[in-house]
Amino acid sequence: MYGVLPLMADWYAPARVVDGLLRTRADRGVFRAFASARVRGRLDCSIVWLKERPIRIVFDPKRGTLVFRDLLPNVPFRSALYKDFKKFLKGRASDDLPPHRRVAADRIKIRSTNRKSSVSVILESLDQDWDYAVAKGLKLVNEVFLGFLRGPYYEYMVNNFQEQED
Amino acid sequence: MAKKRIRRSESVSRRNFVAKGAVAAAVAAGAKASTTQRRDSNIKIPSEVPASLSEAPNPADFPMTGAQIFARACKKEGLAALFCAPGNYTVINALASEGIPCYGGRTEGMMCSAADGFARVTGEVVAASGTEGPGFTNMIMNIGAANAARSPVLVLASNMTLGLEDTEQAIQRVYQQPTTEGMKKYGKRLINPERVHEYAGYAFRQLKSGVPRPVHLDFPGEVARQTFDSAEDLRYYYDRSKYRTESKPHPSPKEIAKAVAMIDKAARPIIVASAGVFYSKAWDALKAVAEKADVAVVESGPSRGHFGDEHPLSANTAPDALLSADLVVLVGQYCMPTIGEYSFDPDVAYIRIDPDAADIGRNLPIDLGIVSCEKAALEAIAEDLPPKKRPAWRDELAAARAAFDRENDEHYKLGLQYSQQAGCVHPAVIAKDIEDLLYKGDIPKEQTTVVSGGYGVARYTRRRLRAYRPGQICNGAYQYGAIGPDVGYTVGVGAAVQQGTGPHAPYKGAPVLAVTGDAGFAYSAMEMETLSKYRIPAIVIVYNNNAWGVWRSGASGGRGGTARAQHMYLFQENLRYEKIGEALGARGEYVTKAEDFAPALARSYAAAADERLSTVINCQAIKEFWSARDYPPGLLQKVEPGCMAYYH
Repeated sequence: MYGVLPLMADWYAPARVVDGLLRTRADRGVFRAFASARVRGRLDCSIVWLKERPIRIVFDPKRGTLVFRDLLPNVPFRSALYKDFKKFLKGRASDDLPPHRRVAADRIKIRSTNRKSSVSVILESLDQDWDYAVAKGLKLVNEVFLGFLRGPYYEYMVNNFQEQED
Repeated sequence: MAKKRIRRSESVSRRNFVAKGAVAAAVAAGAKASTTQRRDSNIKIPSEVPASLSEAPNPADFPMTGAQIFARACKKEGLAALFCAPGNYTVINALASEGIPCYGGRTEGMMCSAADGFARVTGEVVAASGTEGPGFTNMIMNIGAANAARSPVLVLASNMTLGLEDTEQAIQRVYQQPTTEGMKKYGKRLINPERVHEYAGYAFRQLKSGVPRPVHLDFPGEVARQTFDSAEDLRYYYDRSKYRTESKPHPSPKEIAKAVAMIDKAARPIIVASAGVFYSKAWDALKAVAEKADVAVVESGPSRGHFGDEHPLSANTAPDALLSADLVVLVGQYCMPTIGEYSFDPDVAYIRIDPDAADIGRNLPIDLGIVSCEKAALEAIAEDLPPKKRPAWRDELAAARAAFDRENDEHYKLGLQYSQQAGCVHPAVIAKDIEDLLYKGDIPKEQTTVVSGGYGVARYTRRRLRAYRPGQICNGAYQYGAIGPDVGYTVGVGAAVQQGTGPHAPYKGAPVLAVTGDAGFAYSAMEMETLSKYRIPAIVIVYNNNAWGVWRSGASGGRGGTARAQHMYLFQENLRYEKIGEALGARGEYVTKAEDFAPALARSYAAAADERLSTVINCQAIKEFWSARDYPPGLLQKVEPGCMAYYH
């Protein structure tokens, strides 16, 4: 018993930190709605934020990953949108961006998955700085909706995020 | 001043301009567009119009009617203008006799939009009037738009008689006040003739305090026609200094200290300067804050120009820099965006300065709220803010502006290519040519006031329209999203320039320019006649793509496998909207090739400046330009706040 408790405490500590970081923002009014739960050793959060469609964030302390699961629906793997999106993600670590907008490649690894045309974004923390990971993850998603998707994706936004047509 | 401001009556200068400008170049190149000028027709302005306009005011004195009492109160309150269609006769005639500038147009609705447009670019209280039921209800959409824009519009309408209330005797009866519920700051059916002056006070207290919105008064015959032999017959009949105050809410020193500390600590602070900055005439205080500590400024609201686009701290054309801000100060942002509508970082801190405490905290979370007149707050901040240089922030703004310009240039290159391919005019070409004429040629860039309207075309033109002084752009579709009133707004904006009201004084009489679409033009085209009748020189650019801008919603096989719907979104192709202009006393230009647009625009500007003639330029396009697949980038999206904004 004495050996297990500290081990569990360590196991959950990062999840508590990430939960607290997101909850602090929810309390500040950054999100419209926020809920979180621990599921099989992972932190599973649902936020209503930039659009009415909820965003699911799954934090896996064991893997050190923050996943924005199914962030973009209906994006075929071979579509121009997905190609552009991967390029956009790659560009987040570019020196062309000002330092405050840049994701340090030696601290966070960003990648995406596309399963059945549903795109998830994965941030893997390389230094276990959860504060940095959460802040950069949220900034990234913010820029996806307020920057990237305001490119030539009007139809996509109308069809998938109920963007107003007028 | 190196440049002369107004071309009208400066024919030598105008000829030089034409000779040197795009006209000469295009003519030399053999470009040709069809033109019909007003002088070729037998359309005439009746002699009674100028004669009536040149009559001296004839202010009433006791014995006076209720309408005259009300008109006198309006005059003393400085009511800037009245826009109306006949009806409510006693009231509009009394307002005219008092010497208030009056304009009579073709529909009550568009005259209400004219009043709204006038208010948006001057900040002054202005009236709209219509007759009882039909005239009044014709204004509803336009009152809704004025309400969303927080315009100080006094809506007046006659409303039959109290004595025959509910009877349906004769015609045109309607309960007016319930109809404007949710679209006004204050409204009242005047039921007590002796209190007519008192209720003028009620109206102006609302129109001239706090956050403005329309005020709606309806006049039964008993009130408008009642005769008063002396002031003793009236109640509460005293000077405006006794029934309202000019005092404004001032910020607490403690809150200002906190705001100053937050701005000082921030690395990349930005002010969102919205309607309240314009209405409180706080542009000098705004500039002082910005320049003292290198605080960026981005505009929002129903008008633009309270922080000039050319300023190195302007983020109006630097959309990508918005996401870098770490502190946002919303000043006079009456129409509040919700989370995700403004392009700011999720961890940004917000200060909101607003005269209405009840609105602070709505939609966006605040880290500090300050209840204050915008001007008072900005002056206090300017005084206490320590000087600071933020060269990196300035550089980032400059880089973002340059990137935006490059993106516009890319659109233009594509637009030229698409114009050639499709044999018509792409909106990116229209946008570029307007920018070149108004801001990069011989015309002083501060001179021309623009009504920025339309739907899809506006997504291109807004990116290139510039504002260098307060009230230089009227943001047509702002918040309510009404794309139809653009020519109505143009009447009001043109009247403001014609009168030289407020910030337009140095440009009195200069031409105004409007951008609209073929769908929108249909709602307000008849007001070309009003422009022509009053010799308000306007260039109205109609982007004609043969369809409603949202035509793709009904495309066959489109969203949800739509069938049998497309016809509802389409018009006949190649309609000749310029001929509507010609038929109503204006000029017409029909442009079907990209290279013909700049010369047509230059000719139209010259006609407006020299002869006070208005023009409809019908720019032929195709609906497919909104397809990102066939003509990328297609229908552009937007970033708010800044030059592209029209939601908030």
